[in-house]
Amino acid sequence: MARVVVIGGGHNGLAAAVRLARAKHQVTVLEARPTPGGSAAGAEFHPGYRHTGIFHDASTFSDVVARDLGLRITRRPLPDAVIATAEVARTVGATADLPDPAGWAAYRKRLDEVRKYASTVLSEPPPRTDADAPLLPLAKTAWGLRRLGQATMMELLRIGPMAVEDWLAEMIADPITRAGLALEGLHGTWMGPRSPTSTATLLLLESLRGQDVQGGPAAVVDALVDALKTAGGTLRCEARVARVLTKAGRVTGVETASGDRIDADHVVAACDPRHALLDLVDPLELPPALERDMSDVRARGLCAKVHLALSGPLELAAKPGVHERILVAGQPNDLERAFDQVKYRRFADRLPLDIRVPTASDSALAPAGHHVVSILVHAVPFVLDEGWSDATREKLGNAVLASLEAVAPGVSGRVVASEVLTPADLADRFGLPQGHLWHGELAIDQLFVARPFLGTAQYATAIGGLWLASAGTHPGGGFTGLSGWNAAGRL
Amino acid sequence: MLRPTPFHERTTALCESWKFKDWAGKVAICTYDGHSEREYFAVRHSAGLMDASPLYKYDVYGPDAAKLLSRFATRDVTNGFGVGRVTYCTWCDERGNVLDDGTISHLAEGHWRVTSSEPWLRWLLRHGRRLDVRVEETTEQLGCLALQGPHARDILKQCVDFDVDKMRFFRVRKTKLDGVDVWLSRTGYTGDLGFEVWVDAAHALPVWDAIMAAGRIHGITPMGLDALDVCRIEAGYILQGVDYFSAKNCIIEARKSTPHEIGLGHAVDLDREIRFVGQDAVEAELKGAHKWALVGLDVSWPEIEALYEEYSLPPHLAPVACRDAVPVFEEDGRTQVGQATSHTWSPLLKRQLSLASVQPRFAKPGTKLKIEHTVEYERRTVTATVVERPFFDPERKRSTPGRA
Repeated sequence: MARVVVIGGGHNGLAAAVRLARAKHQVTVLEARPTPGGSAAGAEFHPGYRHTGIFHDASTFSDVVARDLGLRITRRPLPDAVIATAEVARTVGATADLPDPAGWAAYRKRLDEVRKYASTVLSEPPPRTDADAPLLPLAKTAWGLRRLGQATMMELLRIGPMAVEDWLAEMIADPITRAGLALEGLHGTWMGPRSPTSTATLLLLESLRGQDVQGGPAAVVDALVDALKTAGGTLRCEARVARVLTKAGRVTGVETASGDRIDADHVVAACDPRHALLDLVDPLELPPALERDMSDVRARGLCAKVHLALSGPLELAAKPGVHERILVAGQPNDLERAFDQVKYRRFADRLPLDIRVPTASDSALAPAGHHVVSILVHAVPFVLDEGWSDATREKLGNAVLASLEAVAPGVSGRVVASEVLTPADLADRFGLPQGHLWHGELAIDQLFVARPFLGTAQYATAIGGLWLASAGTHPGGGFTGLSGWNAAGRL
Repeated sequence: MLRPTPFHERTTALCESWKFKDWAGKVAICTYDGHSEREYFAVRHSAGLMDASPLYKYDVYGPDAAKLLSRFATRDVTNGFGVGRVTYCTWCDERGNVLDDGTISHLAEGHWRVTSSEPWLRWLLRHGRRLDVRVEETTEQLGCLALQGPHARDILKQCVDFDVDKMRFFRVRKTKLDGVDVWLSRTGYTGDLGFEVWVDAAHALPVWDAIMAAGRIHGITPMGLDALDVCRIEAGYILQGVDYFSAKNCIIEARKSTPHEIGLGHAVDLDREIRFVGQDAVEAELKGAHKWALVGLDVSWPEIEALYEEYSLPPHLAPVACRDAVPVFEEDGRTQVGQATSHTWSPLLKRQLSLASVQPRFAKPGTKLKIEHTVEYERRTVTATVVERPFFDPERKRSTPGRA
């Protein structure tokens, strides 16, 4: 039985902790915030109104993890997505309502093929790639790819480096559908639909997607916390780790901001890996190559989060009824142009919106008849030319509301309260590096054996007993729990 | 494009040979005359004055400077390494392969200086992350003059404001040289009594003039790199880029060296609080066997003479120190056991000397080996005997006459 400290009580930290506690290790989770869950936690953002997670999509949470940890969550079908503009709406999902059903079917078929392969690769630690690496795991990965069949394998190798828009256009004639799929398939990443290699990123995120979870990410966090208690682990909130203590290249414990020292045989850093290696470890103990490789990892956030409390439903101009999952992306060029702005440290007047209305399935989250709208706003830079301030935050809120008003006229009049979180706010509150949802860009050079970087992709680090376990490690985003679960398995 | 050093005006005006070379991007003089012999004998019998300004220099300030430098270099300077001390040391990459060698000086409380043959600013900055230090490259700001030779101390006595007799080997202090603020260190690369003067580039020329004026009656001679090369081989000093290669410049692993493989094991402190970069690898290596050992070779002059005799030629050796690496063989002359990387005829010792890397079992003094020697386009071998380094080690190099 080892003494293990887990830094960070986000979903990955909790997943790691539960797995280790169930393996009879003595586990203590240290969470800096007053409540566990990190950006997956639900919160009351205005008296009487709750959201179910900053990151509001639980459909990527791994079944492997949920089953292994015995999590008490209720799966349910993922609500269909309505891709909306001011004039038209497309529906994709279990039921499809769009002008190009054949294209949609071709897309779904391709995703299903990839998912078969991806589900095994993503739920295992990546193989080692160093000179002394055993060949079997590498061969297994390659063999898995080959088993897709010659044609599918070649097709995968062809499309991975493509831009999403180019690839989708091969199958789907309707540009509005393409923009919607691109928006959801690239959420949280520094990419537009015309970014090279974005198809690989979309395939990764989409192949993680399964059934939704009743209650969203917040429900998963609650289940993880319960499972940790049951397994005998300890969760301490408002315990910010200030230092990882090391001696002669091995961890000995951690020291919290309040000065408490906790001895440990292993420290599992389920926080941003950059923070763990560059801020928490004594710089005189960190091998220089590790410092360089970690510093070079790209993590530029471009997501903002807006929560709206509405006095009535969110009504789309193009499709009546209450919808739980809405994508506002316009045309592919609108999405690309919005992304362009980020490169120049600005945000566009019309912003791409990835919307959930959790009250559509759980009316208890708001007063009777009222609704909560949870909006992940794409293409908002972490570094804003004007700088983030109350004024620019308000400007962002207005741009989001105007973008929403364009597809749902009248919504502004129903806003009871709102919460606007800029990428800088997300970085401050949740320790997201530069506000990046996944602790590191989900680009092909930072995935799999190269996540967070080559040579340190098996969760272990060059410092004995220090493990990385956040979304900054394989498989990365979305909200899966696999990084923590895999890391615990390796430990 | 090459750039001038702070002493350029003086040195180039005196350089009659027009033999210049590139030293770290600066114009450096090989020899002032057509041949380096006069300059060489000045170093061994009176004093030579060499412009060593192209050396890379980094000033490190702050309370954590010793920590940073102990992480950076194989020497531990956190414990008892007081103000005024200088150490010669090396630094490694994470695999324990040598990156460079140079000196670390403790100039004042919270002020240190590193010298090196290659640029290391980024490497230093990287290790200084989150420490209370400031690293400043002073390569351009500081001129450096090496005053080397048995009369060096007597020359300095005339221009500095303290008792130079009391200054010990590998010490540094601030002083005024003819009224100009300088750092004076008792260091050098000639293996002789010598000093190095570190001066702000703006005040470089008056310092040159003052030393030259004071040295006139001692026969002071401006000296170039050719003479230095002969001196440093006699002194047994290795040169980065010749006798070993910085790991950062190596394409293949075989070219890289560990500190012990290039004879710098004495500059490695293992028992320490702050572990140096590469210490794990160096310790692991110490548990096994080194691949190489650095040795001095004394090459048989009678055999060289006999070899030329076979071709009816008088013996011929390069007129300057030579840096062409040649194979070194077992005594049978067939199995290669290493390579000799620097060679010179020692005018003082009257011996042909080489520095070589050989397999450790051939490193014992007295071991007879063969070294390649080409005559008339034919590769032949002559006997080379492993001898102790340094070849030339005068007592005056380290003695302190002013100490009771």
